[in-house]
Amino acid sequence: MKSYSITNDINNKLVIFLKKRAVTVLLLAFIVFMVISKPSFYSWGNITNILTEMSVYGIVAFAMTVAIIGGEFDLSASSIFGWATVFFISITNTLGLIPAFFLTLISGILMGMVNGFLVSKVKLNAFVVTLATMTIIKGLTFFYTGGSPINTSNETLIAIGAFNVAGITLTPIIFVIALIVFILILAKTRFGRNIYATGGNYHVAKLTGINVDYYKFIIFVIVGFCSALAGILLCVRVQAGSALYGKDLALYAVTATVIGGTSLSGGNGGVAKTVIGLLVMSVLFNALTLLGVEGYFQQLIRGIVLIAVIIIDTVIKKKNK
Amino acid sequence: MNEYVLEMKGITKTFPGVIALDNVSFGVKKGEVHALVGENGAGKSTLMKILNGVIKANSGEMYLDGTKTNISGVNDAQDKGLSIIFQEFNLINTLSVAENIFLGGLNRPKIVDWRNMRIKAQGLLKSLGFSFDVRRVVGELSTAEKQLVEIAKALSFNSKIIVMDEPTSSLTKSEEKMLFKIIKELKAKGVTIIYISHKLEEIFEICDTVTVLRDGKVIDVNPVSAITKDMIIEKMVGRTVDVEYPKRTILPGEKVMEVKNLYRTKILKNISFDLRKGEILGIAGLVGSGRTELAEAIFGAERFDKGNIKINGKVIKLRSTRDGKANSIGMVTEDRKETGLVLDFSVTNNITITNLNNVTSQRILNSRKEKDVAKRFIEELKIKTPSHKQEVVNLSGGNQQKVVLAKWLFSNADILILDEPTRGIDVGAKYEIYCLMNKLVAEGKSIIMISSELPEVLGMSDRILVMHEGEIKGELLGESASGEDVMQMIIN
Repeated sequence: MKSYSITNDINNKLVIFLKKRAVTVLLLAFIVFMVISKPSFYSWGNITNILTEMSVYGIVAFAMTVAIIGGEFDLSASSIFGWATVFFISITNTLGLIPAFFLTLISGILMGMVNGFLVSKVKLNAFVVTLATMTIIKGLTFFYTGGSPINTSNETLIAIGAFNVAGITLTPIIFVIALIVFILILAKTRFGRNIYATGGNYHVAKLTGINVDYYKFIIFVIVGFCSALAGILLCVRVQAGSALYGKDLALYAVTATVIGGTSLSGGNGGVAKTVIGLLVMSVLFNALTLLGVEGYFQQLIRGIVLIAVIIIDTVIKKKNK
Repeated sequence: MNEYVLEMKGITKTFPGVIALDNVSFGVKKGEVHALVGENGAGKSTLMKILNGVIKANSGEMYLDGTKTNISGVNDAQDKGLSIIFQEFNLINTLSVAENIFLGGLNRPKIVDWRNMRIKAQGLLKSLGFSFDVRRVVGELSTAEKQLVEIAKALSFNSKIIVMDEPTSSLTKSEEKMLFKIIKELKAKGVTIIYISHKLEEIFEICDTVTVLRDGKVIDVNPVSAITKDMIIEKMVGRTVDVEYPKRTILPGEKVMEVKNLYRTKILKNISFDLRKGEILGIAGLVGSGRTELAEAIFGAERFDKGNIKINGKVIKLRSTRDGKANSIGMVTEDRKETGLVLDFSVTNNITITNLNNVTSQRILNSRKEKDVAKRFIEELKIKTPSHKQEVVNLSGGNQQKVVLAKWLFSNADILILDEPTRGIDVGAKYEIYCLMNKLVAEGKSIIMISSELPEVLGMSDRILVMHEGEIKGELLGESASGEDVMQMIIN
């Protein structure tokens, strides 16, 4: 056991790589399988479809990843998203598109600030706080709309919705911009590093002179902002708002984050990993639809995939120790 | 040949790239207290983990009472009369004393007989010479009491051999005495104890035999009566250590910090002192005397109700640790794992975190600059790590402590508060940290050092403040003070 041959070493490295990227490898294998067995999967139309599908929720998943890295969690993203869709459409119908855009983003930021204040200053548990604000905001949205969806026939909005480059609409473009921005912030700025430190060990971060309360606060503002932005992007596509939109968003975002490999305990992971999680979910469901699997059944598979990925991940981590 | 109750023969254990144990043979006689010493990384923990069945040796044999045995895991070890009490206790804070003692008990019935359990727990504590309510929740107990519970737990398995890993590391002097008394009683009952400690004085107080490990090999086995402390140190580090506390020339400069009438209800009582440039100011006192609270107040980690702090003649505001850092104060906390390091972070990221602005260009973190900083400190402080990218969780205690120091040096702190700077680290690394402290004060920095190890305070400080019950009882000169002087001040 004292000497290792070079081929052995390369083999070891390959094994370590495969273990670390098990989810990615499985995803690629699945894509290859689909390309071979179902040519329609590989069509440009279907690819842009997958991209568009994952982009709206994907932006919120990035924000959720930041929150989880910082050691927090935000359930209210769902309700902020739903609120944003109805608020945006209704303001578009009254004050116009540009005020609607800014007012909706501001409302998302304000809701995030309330969450952030309660968690970082009043020191309440994030789960409880966001569970409460989730319910409150949902109630507010129902109250605002009387429960029914609202539509708009704003022509500019319809035109923006129709805009595309080779089938790629605005949403995936913003998704990619958000991805790059988040990667840069997390990996390359003091702000990002301090979020990792705060989530990695709150006490250490505090005793290092990091303004931990600020980071705990800002996490929720980021989620609020991104949820509102994603709500607007959905409106661009469907020109309608409803309190029921986004009801599975928060858990979807957490699922994508965890499948991607960001640990729920905080302090590590990243948004690039979350892209893998998003791809797993949207590719899988797109494929299931193409293969003719029923919608209800897909829910069940989503849960199984989540558990399976976490099991694989945990088993590999244990083995590596 | 049956004089050995435990014998491990030819134990070898390799981890990828490292030989942790190299053909180690280790024998313990029945009823003795056997010390196992060595620097961090010498292989003590690995050997104990093999003994406990947590990890498997690559080769070697183990004998209990002369019969060859295999230990498959912790439960098996307990069945065979082996218990290990780790430095970090294995107790559940929310459960009662009795429940903890019998947790995982061998013949645990499906239905708990609470009365019987309490009586048995009470009996075990009594056999150790103690009696307190076994219905108390473990989280409320003092460290010493928790240790007692661990020992009682070990006895509940009818353990014949108990391993104690750094049992005194967080005990006060009087608690330590109590522990030694218990050890002697256990010994009288025929229980064999393997005693792991960095505090060599203790070994001479209670151990019969000492085995020295170095770099995974047994260097020496001797009766304690046939060996001196200096000989043990020499064998542990593989060279002669001339002086425990390196000397320096004292150049006390102008006042850099003036603390006046610091007061915090029930915790700190009108604390006043000065700190000079290039000085090491020691703070001695018992655990709970307010030492750590004082340090936290000076750093901005804890509030104070009255009083003020001047830095370079100006009163400063200390609302948070950020203010402390901004005023060039740094604090190495007493628990590096809980409050000193982000364990998942690399060496680099742990060091640069105090001063990220210094490693950015146009507000973007520059990984090359970060790497250079880390490499500089790794070299300067002789941090033993395979790479600057290594996660600190994988480093030994001494090297972790150096990373904590590096982090505050990188923040350009002029006043360093060191709370128990050498706790749980080995002789060699201790000496290096002392040398580093001397170098820092020679460069014009000032150090406030808190320590429970009296010899360390006496050996390293220019002046010593003696604290007791939140008050400064007096001041001594490090050069001339003795341990008795300090204790006198505390008692009076």
